[in-house]
Amino acid sequence: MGRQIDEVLEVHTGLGAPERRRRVLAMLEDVRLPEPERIIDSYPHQLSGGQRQRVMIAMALALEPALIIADEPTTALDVTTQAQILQLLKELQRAHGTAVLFITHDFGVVAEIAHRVAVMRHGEVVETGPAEAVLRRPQAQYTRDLVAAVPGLVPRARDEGAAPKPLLVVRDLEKTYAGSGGLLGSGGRTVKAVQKVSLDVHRQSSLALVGESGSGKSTLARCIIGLDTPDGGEVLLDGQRVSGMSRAEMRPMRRLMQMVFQDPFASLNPRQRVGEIIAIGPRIQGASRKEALERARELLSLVGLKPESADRYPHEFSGGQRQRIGIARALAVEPKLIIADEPVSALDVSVQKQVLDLLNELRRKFGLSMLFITHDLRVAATVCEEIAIMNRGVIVERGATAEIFAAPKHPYTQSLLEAVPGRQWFNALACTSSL
Amino acid sequence: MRSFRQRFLGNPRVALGLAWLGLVVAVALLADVLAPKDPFAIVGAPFAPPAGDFVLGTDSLGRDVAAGLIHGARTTMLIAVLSTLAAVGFGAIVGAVTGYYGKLVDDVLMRTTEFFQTIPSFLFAIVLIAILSPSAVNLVIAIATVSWPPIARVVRGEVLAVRSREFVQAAVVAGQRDSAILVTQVLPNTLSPLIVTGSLLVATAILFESALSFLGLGAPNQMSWGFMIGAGRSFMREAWWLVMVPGVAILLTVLAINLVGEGLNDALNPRLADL
Repeated sequence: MGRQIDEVLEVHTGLGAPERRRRVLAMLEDVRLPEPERIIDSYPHQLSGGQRQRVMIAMALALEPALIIADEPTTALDVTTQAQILQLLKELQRAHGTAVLFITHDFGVVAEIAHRVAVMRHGEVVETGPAEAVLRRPQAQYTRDLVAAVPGLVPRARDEGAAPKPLLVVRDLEKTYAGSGGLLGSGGRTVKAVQKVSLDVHRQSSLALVGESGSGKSTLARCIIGLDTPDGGEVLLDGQRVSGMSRAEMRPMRRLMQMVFQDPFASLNPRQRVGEIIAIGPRIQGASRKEALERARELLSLVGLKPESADRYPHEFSGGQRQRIGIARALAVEPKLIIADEPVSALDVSVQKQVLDLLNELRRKFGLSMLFITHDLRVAATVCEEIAIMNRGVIVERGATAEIFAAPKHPYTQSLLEAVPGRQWFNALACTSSL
Repeated sequence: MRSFRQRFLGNPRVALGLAWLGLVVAVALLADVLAPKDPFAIVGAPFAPPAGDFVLGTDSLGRDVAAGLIHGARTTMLIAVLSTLAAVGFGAIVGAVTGYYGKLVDDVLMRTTEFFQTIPSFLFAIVLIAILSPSAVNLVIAIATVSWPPIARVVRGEVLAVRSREFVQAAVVAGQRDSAILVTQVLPNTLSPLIVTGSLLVATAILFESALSFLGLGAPNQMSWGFMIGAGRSFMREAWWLVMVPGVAILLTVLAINLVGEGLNDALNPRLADL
């Protein structure tokens, strides 16, 4: 790592090697990296995402520039790491007196870091002004839409009349990944992805599973839906034990439980027409081709697309439209439970809101239950009445969304809530809108 | 971005290649009309030079070289295309199964594939023909046997990449069977490299067929370009056209197939072609 920062100094300054090394160490210290002496001699893959981003910032600061352009520097990071990096950028900006041009799609991040804001659309700046003014009193229509689309921190209340009998029960589920031992089969590292997790989803209710990357939330979902085999514990769906079922035995159960995938670009077969994609499920459940295609058209109009879309291929649609197709596919067999694995994390914020609204509406219409997996507490709060927080394969806290937001008990939940970008701004917004 | 058709047909090299291939295929299909007589029939004096009574001259026994070329096109193209289809079919099945199931199946089948690849393919083909006895069907079998491993490897690699995509998982969640997932979800997404490799394989098959016929291991009683070269090689100094005419035919056809294959590759992978 040291060498990569050093390159900048070597090219632009006339300093000798020992002096440059001292400068690099000082810079690593400056961006609050632990043990700069170790980091300076390590390779990128030995550092975490947050540490790498810190090194990148050190690199940008090496020559004490007057302007730093930061292009979505925290988008790929977990929310707690993001909060740390934003904090660091703010401090460095103040200490060095540099100007920062910060590019982001997230208004929460804007609220955290910006003094002035320029909102861009279709290659044009539609609005500029002090952050305070733009965020509180957006002038342009587009800005107003964007601000309104940001999922807030207002927790969703429990729906009245939800039957308490659980639809999905997960008991002591365990999944361990054995690290492949390489050629000679030695030195394998085992990862306990999910450790003794229990949860249940009630009929017509929804549970958000929130965790950062590597927390095991996706593995848990894959074990529930049968894409992975759990090593221990059991999954009960509508009273029937589905864990340990063969794929053939599982087939009738697919009627009850379906999944919406994360990546709208990878989850649709590019060589199949949209109608055929949606019709697969019903056809396996015994519908004729004609019936299934007819149903696919109805579903397409239900999720807000034209029925004629059935004859087109996935690449003709935008990300948000594709996710609607993915939702239509999941609904095609009229399931009782939908598992949604980060269904909006790949979408822009305004499209995100549309898809979340659609999911909400469909839930009400079909009486669906939902297990909603997300890394974003804000999204979880808008969609689900209950939240389970997962960290390192364990559920550390679960309860009604409102209660968790009001009084988080576990320290990890507290740190997650602390880290949500633009928290104060949201709270202020919520106050003004409730007045 | 331009459509596949524009990118493919708009390429001048592809147009040239297609034109020549179209001519060869037309000649092969119309062989009995263009040269109604048996190409083995003696029609005139031996060693008549081209542009005399016979457009391309006659060979050492007085057979018409032009008629041989026309009927040879039919034999050569038929054997090349059939053996390629067989190789692609078999290789695709092996590759798909190994890539999709992985683990033990993958190990066993890929070691077998490597076993086939380590034997020098032309020697292997000669041995096969020697064992099976020369005939058109056996030529197809021999050429297909030595050419399927690369296809299996290409398909395996593609299937490995496609298998982990989310739409395959979605099909599992929908409850599709493995065989249906392979046929409807995975294989259609491996088609473009398969088509490119397959089209280039036709060129290799032509060379194999010609080389085997040259050695006298071709289909007996069927005129082919390799056989013509083999028969004419001892008279190269007296009658250059006996080797030259079929030789140029092979060269142009193989070149045309390569041009079309490369063009297919560029058109199917437009991003790579821009590099």
